[in-house]
Amino acid sequence: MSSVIKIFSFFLIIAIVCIPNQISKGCGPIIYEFKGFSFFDTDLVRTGSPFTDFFLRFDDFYHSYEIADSVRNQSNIQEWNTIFCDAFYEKEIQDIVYGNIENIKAIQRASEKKKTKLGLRLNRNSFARHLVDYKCTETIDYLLFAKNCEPHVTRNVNAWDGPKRDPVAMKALIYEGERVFLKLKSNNIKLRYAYQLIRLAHYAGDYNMALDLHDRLLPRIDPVESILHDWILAHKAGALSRSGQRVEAAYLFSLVFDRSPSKREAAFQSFSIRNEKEWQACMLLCQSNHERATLHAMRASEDHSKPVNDMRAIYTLDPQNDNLELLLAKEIKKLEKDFLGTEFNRHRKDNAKFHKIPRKQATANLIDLTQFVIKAGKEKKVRRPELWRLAEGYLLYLSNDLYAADQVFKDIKKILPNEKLQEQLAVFRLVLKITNYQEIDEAKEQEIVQIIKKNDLYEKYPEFEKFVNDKLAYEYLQAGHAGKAYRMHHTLEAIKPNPQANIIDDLIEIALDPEKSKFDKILTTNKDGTEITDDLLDIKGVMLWNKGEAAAALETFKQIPVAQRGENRFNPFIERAKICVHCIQPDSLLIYNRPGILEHIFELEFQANSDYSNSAKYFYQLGLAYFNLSYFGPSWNAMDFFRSGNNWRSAKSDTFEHWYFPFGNKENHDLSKAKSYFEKVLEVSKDRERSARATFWLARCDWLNYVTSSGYKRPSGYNQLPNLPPEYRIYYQQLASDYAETDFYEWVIRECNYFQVYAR
Amino acid sequence: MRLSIYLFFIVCFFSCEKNSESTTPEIAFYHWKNEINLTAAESRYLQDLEVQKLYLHFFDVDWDVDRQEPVPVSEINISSSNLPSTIVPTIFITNRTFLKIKKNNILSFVDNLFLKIETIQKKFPETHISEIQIDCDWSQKSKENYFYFLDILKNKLKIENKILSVTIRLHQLKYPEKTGIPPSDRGALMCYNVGDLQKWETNNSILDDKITSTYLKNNMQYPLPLDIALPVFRWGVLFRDGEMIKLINQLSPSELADQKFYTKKNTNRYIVQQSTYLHGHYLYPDDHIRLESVSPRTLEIVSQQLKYALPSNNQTLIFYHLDSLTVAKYPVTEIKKIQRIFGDVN
Repeated sequence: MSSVIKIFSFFLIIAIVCIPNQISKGCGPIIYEFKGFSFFDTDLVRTGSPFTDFFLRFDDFYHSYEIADSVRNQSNIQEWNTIFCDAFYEKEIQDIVYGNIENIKAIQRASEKKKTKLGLRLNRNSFARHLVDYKCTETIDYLLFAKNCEPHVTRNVNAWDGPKRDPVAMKALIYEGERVFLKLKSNNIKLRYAYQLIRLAHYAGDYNMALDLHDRLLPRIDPVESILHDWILAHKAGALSRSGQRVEAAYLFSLVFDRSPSKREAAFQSFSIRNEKEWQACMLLCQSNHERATLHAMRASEDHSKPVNDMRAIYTLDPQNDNLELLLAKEIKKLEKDFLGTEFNRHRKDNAKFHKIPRKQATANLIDLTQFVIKAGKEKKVRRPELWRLAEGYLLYLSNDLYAADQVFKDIKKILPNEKLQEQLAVFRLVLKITNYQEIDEAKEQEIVQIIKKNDLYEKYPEFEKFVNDKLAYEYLQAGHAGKAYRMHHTLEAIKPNPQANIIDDLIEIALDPEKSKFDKILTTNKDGTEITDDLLDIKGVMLWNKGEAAAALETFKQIPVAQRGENRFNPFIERAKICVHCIQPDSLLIYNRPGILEHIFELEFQANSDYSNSAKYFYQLGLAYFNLSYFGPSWNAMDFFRSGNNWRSAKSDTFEHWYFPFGNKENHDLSKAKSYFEKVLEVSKDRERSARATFWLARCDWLNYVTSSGYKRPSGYNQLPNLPPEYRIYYQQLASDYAETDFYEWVIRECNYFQVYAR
Repeated sequence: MRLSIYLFFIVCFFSCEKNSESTTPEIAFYHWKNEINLTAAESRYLQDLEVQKLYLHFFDVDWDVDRQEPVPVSEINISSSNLPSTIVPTIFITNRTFLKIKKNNILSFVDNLFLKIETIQKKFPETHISEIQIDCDWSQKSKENYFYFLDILKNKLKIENKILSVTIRLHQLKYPEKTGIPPSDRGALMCYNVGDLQKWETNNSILDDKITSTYLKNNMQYPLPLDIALPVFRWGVLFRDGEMIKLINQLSPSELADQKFYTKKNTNRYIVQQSTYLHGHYLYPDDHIRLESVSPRTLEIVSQQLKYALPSNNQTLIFYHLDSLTVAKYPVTEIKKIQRIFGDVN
């Protein structure tokens, strides 16, 4: 039993986990996100390539300035540390390089004068101490110079402040820097000055000067390994671009994109090819096939690209290129959205509506990519042919060629060299197995239960839960088991506000079947191990009652054992002067449960039709009961399970959307039955007081019918009565014209201020 | 006596003249590029049309996800000095800004925006600024924040004797009780972007007199005095796999004439045959392009609709937007013709 509970809990958890995603449907803006599955693990292509983060950002990766800044700063700190033989903690370097200018000034003072000592905090920083002890004048002066450049070349902390660039001051800094540059000994520091000067000239808008500085200063620096070469190249590319040398600029940006993780995003954004001629010219500037392949990789990375042709070009130029695997992963992720479980994904309609997924040309894209992947896997020129074979099998699976996919998966089992690829293969094979389940019978259900209970991958990859639930729901629906399909995603509670006959009937049939399968037992068992049969009968009874099938409803309620038919907590037969939904009634008066109410209604109907002298009294009680059982009465919860106080004004239908209830919340606004009984009172009653009361109830019903109609117009001011159209005022007027002499009329005049308005 | 008769006629003449002038709307233009550097042809165009007022796009405001605050983007660069005598700083604010911002941060947002405008307007010492325009396509959910923002900004501008104007979309004109009336001094009715851009089937999303006619009735009453903004621009709408993915500004039919790359499906629809670059965008076979522009005839029809829908004095007729292609495609005579249509009504 414990495993039954475990599996049932699993489905419940899924239902609960899935449901909050829809919260926005009921309140707040509806931002519908794509909902589907993905089993391709992008870690497979995270092989340390510096491009990984760039290529695998997909749709949801927000590449902010802050991230780019942090990558750049980190690379710079690491390089400072390398220059000093990794002698310091990076944090110590960071505090000086990206810290306050006063720190550097203090270091400068301490290094110049023997007597001046560093403050306590700086003295604890071994990088600062090193600069002082070894009198690293060039480094200290450079750091100060860089700090002076900073305001002109970095973004303001306050986004609303414009750039604090002062071209005159920037030029002055360039002249000063160039003067210092000529006297420097360290090539590392020379390179840093060159970077600062070229950047200043670029941002000052003097592009010719930037290019001139680049050409004059760099030849004077002996080769040193540094990230700054690419940073300088990026500024050169920027200056070229602003000077109209677009092709040269694009080429340099592609080099930066290829080499510099910290400038990759910016280089990609700045890379621009306007026409075919520029593309060809840019290709001609490339020095190697790797550089040419990079241009194709950049083009393939554009939003909405169709990259297969560019992938083919990369493959031809540089088949071992890192970018190929990354582009492959990116394309597979897109195709998963189009094809993975699309047939049974329960969100498929919303995905199509809000995201146009599957894409129109998705099949052509899939075929195109599959053909290329087969070729690459077969020719084995790529870096990891086995990954391409694995992708081939998965793409065949996505093409719905399940047999061919299975064959590929069998073929490659022995050639996959590592656990990661083996695990991915196992995941794909499990996906294939689940997809293959059709016409689910008891044996297959047992297999699925075993997967859920014992397959490690099932636990490791949360996608499987959604995948299995959607698949089973779909198959059950195909087999006519709407109830089982429903239970794959929802709790029984969620159907109560608007019960669906096909679901409830299916579940009752299963619940009452003495030979039901174990899986069916799970679906018809409560968390505490009790069966849901009584609950189902209760829901069905309420559903039939709402449909006007009172006798069938009573029969259904009577199928529930007497002890389980619910407490006596209703009494719709009590008349209250004011309409009051939530007024507490004394327990002593609450003497009916659901079947009890129906039995009393039948009794009253019998008496009304047999005891003619008192029929008006019985009809009145019946009218009252049906009013009290409606949305507007205190016994609403006898004929409904859920009521929202908001759901009554301007109702276009009686069913209201709700984030938790898949079929919405149906409110029992129907007052026709109550009205018909009150009208019968008017026909048969000889008691003027009773007739007056019945007329007033009819007027109330009409008022409520109007304010819950789609034609209701809200009054413009607060505390204003709705302007009741004439056809809804008939009974108010009738009460005033026909029953003015009654005591009840006097009471109405006294108690109901609004009456005078409508009775006019 | 003779002198006084002369004087009487002179006064009559000028007063009549003045009356007829007041019914003819003033012509103005939006300038929506990042850099203002008017060409000689553009300056001459403005002079010929006697344009005194330029609605200058100063910057946009968008919600910054990292900072969790509104930030200015695409700030204008100023290289031109020969501007009309009056400029109206115009700021586009994304709707999501008002969806995201918390009400208690709106005051500081207004302060920031106000300071930013002041800083930029200092770069135009020769020009007169008496109005600020805010462009935002607000929604039901952003309305409260947006209107609160406008309220504060309007009061702040009042102290400096400036007025606040806002852009009004056609649906906001037609359903003011649903969309609300923004608390500003004036509105500029945007008579463009009327169709469903995202649908391939749409014929012309920029301007379609059949669509505008469904929004405009004779003598419409809107609680704000309204200027009229009309489109004089063109673009190509690029669709890939059935999805609208890009707008290619100022695309002309001649650029799609090469049959090696494009097949013309009908008057304004093209299919890409072979991969190629277009305005810096790489196109793939089977990409679809819909060319959209505004014909003088459509402009005239919509102007007729507008003059009966919103008869008004002291209206400004703002054309979106000023650039060299507009100058070439919409000659002075055509713009004046539109101006006269509005003038005729009163």
